[in-house]
Amino acid sequence: MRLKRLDLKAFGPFTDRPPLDFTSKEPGLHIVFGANEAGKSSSLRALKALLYGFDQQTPDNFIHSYDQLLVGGCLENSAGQEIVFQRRKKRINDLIDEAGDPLDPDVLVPFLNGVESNIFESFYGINHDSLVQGGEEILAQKGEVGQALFAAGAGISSLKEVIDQLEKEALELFKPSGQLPEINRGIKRFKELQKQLKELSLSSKIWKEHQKALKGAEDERADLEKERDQHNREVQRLDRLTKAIPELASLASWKEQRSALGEVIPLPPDFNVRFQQTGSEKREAGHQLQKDTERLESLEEKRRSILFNRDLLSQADKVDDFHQRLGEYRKGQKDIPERNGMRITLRREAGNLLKQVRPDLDLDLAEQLRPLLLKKKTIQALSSRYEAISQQLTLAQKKLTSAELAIKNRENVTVGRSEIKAPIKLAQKVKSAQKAGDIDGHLEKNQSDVETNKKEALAELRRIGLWSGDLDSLMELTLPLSATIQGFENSYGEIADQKREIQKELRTAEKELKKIQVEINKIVYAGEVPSERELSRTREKREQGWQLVRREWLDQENVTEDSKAYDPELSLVDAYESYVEHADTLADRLRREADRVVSIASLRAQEEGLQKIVEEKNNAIAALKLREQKNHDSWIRAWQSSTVTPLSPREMIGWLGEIDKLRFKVGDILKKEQAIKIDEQHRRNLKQALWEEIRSMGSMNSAGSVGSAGEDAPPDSEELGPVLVFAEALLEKMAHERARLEKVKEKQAQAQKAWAQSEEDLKTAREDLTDWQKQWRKAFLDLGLKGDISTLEAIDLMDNLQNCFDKLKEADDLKKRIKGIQRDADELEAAVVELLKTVAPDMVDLPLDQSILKLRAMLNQAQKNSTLYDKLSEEIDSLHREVSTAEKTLESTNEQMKELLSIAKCAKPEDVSTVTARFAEYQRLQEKISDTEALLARIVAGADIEEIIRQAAEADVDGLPGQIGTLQRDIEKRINPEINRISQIIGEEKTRLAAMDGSGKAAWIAEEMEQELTVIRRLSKRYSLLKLSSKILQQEIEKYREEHQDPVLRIASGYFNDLTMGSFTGLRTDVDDKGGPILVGLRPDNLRLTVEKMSSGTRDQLFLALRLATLEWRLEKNEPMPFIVDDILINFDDNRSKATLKVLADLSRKNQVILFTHHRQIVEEAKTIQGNYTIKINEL
Amino acid sequence: MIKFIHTADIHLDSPLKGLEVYEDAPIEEIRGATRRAFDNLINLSIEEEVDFILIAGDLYDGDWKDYNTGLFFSGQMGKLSKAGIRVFIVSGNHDAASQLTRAMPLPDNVTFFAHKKVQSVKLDDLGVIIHGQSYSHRAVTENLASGYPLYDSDYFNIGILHTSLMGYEGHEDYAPCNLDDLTSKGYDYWALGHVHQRRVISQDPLIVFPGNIQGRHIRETGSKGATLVTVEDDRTIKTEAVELDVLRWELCQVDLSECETSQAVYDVVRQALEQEQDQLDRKPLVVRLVLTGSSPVHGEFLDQTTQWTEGFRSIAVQLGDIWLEKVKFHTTRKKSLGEMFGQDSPIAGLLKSIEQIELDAETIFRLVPDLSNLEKKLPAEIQTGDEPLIDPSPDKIEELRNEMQELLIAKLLQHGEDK
Repeated sequence: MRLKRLDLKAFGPFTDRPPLDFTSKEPGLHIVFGANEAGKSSSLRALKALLYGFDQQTPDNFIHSYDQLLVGGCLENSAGQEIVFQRRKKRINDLIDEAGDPLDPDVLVPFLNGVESNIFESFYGINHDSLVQGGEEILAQKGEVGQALFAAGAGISSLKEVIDQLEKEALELFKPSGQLPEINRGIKRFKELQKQLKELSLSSKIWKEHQKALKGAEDERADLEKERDQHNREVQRLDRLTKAIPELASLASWKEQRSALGEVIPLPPDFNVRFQQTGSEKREAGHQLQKDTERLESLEEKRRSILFNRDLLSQADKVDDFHQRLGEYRKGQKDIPERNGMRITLRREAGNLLKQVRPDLDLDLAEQLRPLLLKKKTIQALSSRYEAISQQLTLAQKKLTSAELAIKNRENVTVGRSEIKAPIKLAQKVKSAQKAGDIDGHLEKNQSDVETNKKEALAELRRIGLWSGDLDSLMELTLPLSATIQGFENSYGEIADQKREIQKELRTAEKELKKIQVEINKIVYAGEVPSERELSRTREKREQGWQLVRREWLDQENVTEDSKAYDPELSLVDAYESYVEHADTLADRLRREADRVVSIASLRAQEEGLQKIVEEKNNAIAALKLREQKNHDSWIRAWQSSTVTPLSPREMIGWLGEIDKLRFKVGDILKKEQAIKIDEQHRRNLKQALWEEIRSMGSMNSAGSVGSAGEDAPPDSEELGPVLVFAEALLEKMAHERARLEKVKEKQAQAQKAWAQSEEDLKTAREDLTDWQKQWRKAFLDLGLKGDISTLEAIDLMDNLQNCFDKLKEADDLKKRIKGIQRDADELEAAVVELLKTVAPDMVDLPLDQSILKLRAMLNQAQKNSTLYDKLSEEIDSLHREVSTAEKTLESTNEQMKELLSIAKCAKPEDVSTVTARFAEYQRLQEKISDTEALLARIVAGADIEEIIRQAAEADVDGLPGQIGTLQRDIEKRINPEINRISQIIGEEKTRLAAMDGSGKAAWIAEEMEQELTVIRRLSKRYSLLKLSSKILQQEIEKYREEHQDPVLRIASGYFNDLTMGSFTGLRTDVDDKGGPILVGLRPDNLRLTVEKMSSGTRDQLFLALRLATLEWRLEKNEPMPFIVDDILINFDDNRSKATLKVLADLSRKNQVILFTHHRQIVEEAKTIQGNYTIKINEL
Repeated sequence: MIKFIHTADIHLDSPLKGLEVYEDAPIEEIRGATRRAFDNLINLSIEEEVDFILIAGDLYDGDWKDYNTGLFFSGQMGKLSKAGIRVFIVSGNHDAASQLTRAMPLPDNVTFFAHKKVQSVKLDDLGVIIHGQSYSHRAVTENLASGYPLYDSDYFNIGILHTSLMGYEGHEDYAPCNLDDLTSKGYDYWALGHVHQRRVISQDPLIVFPGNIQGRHIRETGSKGATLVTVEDDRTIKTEAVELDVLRWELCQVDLSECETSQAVYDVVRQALEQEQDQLDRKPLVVRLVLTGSSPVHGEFLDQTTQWTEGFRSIAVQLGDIWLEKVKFHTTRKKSLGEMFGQDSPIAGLLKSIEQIELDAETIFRLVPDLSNLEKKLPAEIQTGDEPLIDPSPDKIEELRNEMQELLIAKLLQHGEDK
């Protein structure tokens, strides 16, 4: 088929574009050229759309919408038929004729020859991508001929990928020894389910067994429970009997005793108490009555015997009063004479005192002196004033005398002293020298410091070592940078590390090697190990022997010499036989001892590997040593300029650090030396200035009063200190002299002032004394005292007068008191006599104090008797009342006793005790009987007592506890445990049976198993399909190669020659290492080049050659189809592009070729192709 | 009036076959299907107040041994006993040897026919006599029917028998007999079992296969249930097929000729599934999708089987209550492969090789040793089952060839054009 025309009516950028014309006499090479954006790709798609319809989605609708897209064209087949048609983008009826009427899709069949769209693209289309991919694929397969041919033949560039995909999918499904692939997992799940099903399934046998076991257990338990009930009942019965038998015996005994009592008189319950009580009450009442009557009589006799004075009793108050006043009376009588004596003494003393004041005056006239006492205060004040005045006078005279003396002394001292001037200039120089501080000490210290530091630095430098010289040249020494040294340190370290590492590995390898060799020896010592090599050697030998035998035997040759050479000792036949045998033995052993062979081979391989490693490691160590030496050389070089012979970089880092530190220190020392020089200059200047000033002062001193013969001249030395001290001492001395002069002047002024003050004070004191003397005389003038009296005498006089008046008054008071005592004694005597007249007239004549005391005694006796009488009367009344009560009680008890006797049916109280005793015994027995009966009723628990009595009569009393024990033990030890055991069994069985609930769980698992099986089945089928397909495809590739290798390769050889412009003369097949056939290119010099050694461009051309060859080969049997080439020349150089165009032009004589390109150069080159070709160009 | 239900081939608790679990598949809806269908049978009997039930064999599945199934059955029989419904059972090939049949104590209302000889049970209150014989072992090849007695004219005669008659496709040949063997007995009703498809063999006398009550795999499609029989006093008989299944198996064939895009394919499949669903009244559906027609999508199917299948499954999941059992890609190309590749291309050679290669198990295992490894690992259920790994039947081999061709072509062309 040929494409004659392509109409781009509405497609991509085209709207009713003039048709692309592909008509030509021969099929022809048709180039469609379009620059970028011109629509080259669109027109390529339009071509496909025309033949096979539009793709579902196409980018060519940017102007025309999908339903407007329209392409048309004209086709011609080799039979000469022609068809003109158009195609729209539609699902049905997309094929239309020129008029737009639908066409049957089958009209294209005679033109397309059944080539489907994708087949068309694979076989009859090639573009740059598929070309490159094909080239790469050939490389990937290393030129494997089958695949290259098959791929090229089928238009498939990536055959390997197809096989890989099939195998990969298969591997994801199943691996014979895998766990993860889907089928493996499915099988595992299925097995798990199988196990579950087995666990969940219930077999009928088991169910029945459990059913039966349950029934049996339930029956057994019911039997046991019945037996236990019976036992329990018997135990209860026996227990009742055991308890009832003793009680029954007691009951019988009580009843017997009761009937033995005979008739009994019933008594009320409190009878006994009442009888006893009444008897004792009666007796008590009798006793009381008798006792009371006797006492009454005795008391009345006693009262009658008491008598007393009733009048005196009524005057008791008066007697008491007299008795009290008696003490006072007696004291008064005793005091009177004593007081009188005291009064007379006082008056005598007063008279003596008065005589000291006024001896002339009588005591009775003393009263006229009383006014003098009123002036006592005035006299006291004047006395004290006199003391003060006389003191002032004395003091003033003393001061005056001392002031006069002082004035005289001072006047001599102050004469002839001149002023001294202040030395200001010298003070300034001293101050500025002081400001410089202890400059001498400072300088001395610094100098010694510098000395010490320098010594230390030199010592340090010697200690650090490696370099020697003075400090100045140390500062100028050139040394490498620490970074440089660090670099060396690193490289040394790195080399050492590597060496260590490698040596470690070496040791490991050697150790390993030894181990392996031991292993090998172990095997070898156990017997020689046959080897493949030995076998092949033996076989070779055998073969030689055979050749010799053959020659001798069949060819009748004489092989004696050769035989000797073959085996010098044995004859040929024996030797050959022995080799045959040896070879067989070896082969057998190889097979038999395969394990050993394999292990020794493996060990030998390991050994070799390890030896190689050892060797490598040794080489590496040697290389490292070389490197180390180089490193060391450059290290030494780095220090050359400094004349230092370096140690290791690590040590040199330390050294450099110390040297740097030292250099820093030395720098400091030099700086300090400089400073000392400056300070020394400063000191010289200061000293000079001071010196000059002192010198000038010295000249002044010789003139003035200060400089004296004792002063030294200032010391002459380097230091400032002595000069300064000299100057300072000079200044101090001058200041001291000035201060002393000032003080003398001040004291002179003070003495003058004190003298004036003292004179004034003396004058004032004398005036005050005169005034006082006047007042003193006036105070005593009016009193008629004779002469002047001193101040001390005046005070004494006043005191005596006062005492005299006091004593007179005291004597007066005593006189009044004596009179009062006498009056009280008289009044008492009268009152006593009056009372005595009425009460005891016989005592009137008695002295007063005696009569009072006697009255008092009489009254006391009368009071005592009266009290006794009253008490007796009261007791007598009470006894009368008691007697009457006792009589009444006695009567009532007699009545009660009578009643009690009638109840007991007794005549006398003595008979009562018999009756009550019998009744008490009767009651006791009755109580016992009813208690026992109640107890029995409880024991038998409602059963018929008579029945119990009957059973008791039959029972073996002693055997009862034994019987009960036996029964209870049987229950406890046998029946109960057995019931428990069986109940547990019943519980378990019930649980099991309940679990067998007819559920569908097992059935569900069975369903899941079916589901799993289905999955496994499906996947297994898929796996089979994939594996089989992959296998068959591989076989087919091989088959295709075998069949087509020669013809296609022959054609391809020619194409490859043309395409590479003779760089390769053709293609050949060769075999690779594995014996598989591969493609090689043949150089003009017959050199064979494998695909790996070709450039990628050449490989592209190789693929193209194969494609073209297949296409050409197909032409022999198939209807041609246009070969669509899409810009494959991009990567070809100019010459090869041209060659390719020529090749395509050649092909176009038999088969239409349509070449789409963006490159005008291709068009130009096409035009220059030599030869009679049909080349047409369509420009878009 | 007598009313009874005739059922058979219950295969209680036997699993559904051929289903693969996938995400969101309606697992719960299909679980315990045979049980639930059997529940339906019991409930129907009680609602309809039938006099008795006939179970004509294969109550249990052959090698199913879980006694729970028996306990479940026994429980259901107890329900019927309470409702006064009697049950008559013969065993068939599947349950003849079943431990469940032998060991299960059953309530008094259940009669299990003996296997040594034919047994005739008279139901005098109903005027019915039932003749029946169980299988003594799995493969009963003798004609059991011939041993059945002639009819008893005083009763309404029912024969109950598990038989393959003259043989049915897909069913093994057991207790064979011909129609004459049955009609000659003069019975009023032959209650047969064994054939899973419902069939009325004869109208006079009525000879009926009720089919099984629940489809269990894709070969058991369509409605499933039992036969409800009413006998009027004048002995006119009315039969009615009652539906008991809880889920339905259907083959859904979809023609993709018109589909050019994958979307179109999905749309068409969705419509077809919806249609299937509409035909059933809310019953869960298990569907096998069979895609036919020549479609441009054909090539993709074999290359991307898994992805396509998942796509269809997700449609089923979206529709709900549909289990997609399997997808069969039976589509074809518009042109045959031969037409496409001519005679001399490498692909043509490949196709030809596939046509010609021997595909017996021996050759296959020799070609691909891994397949032999796989076969050894597969569970016995697959090796001995209906679908062995290497199926030697000619049409399976043909199918395999076809699949290989399609797969390889798809892969080869895909790599030819894309790259």
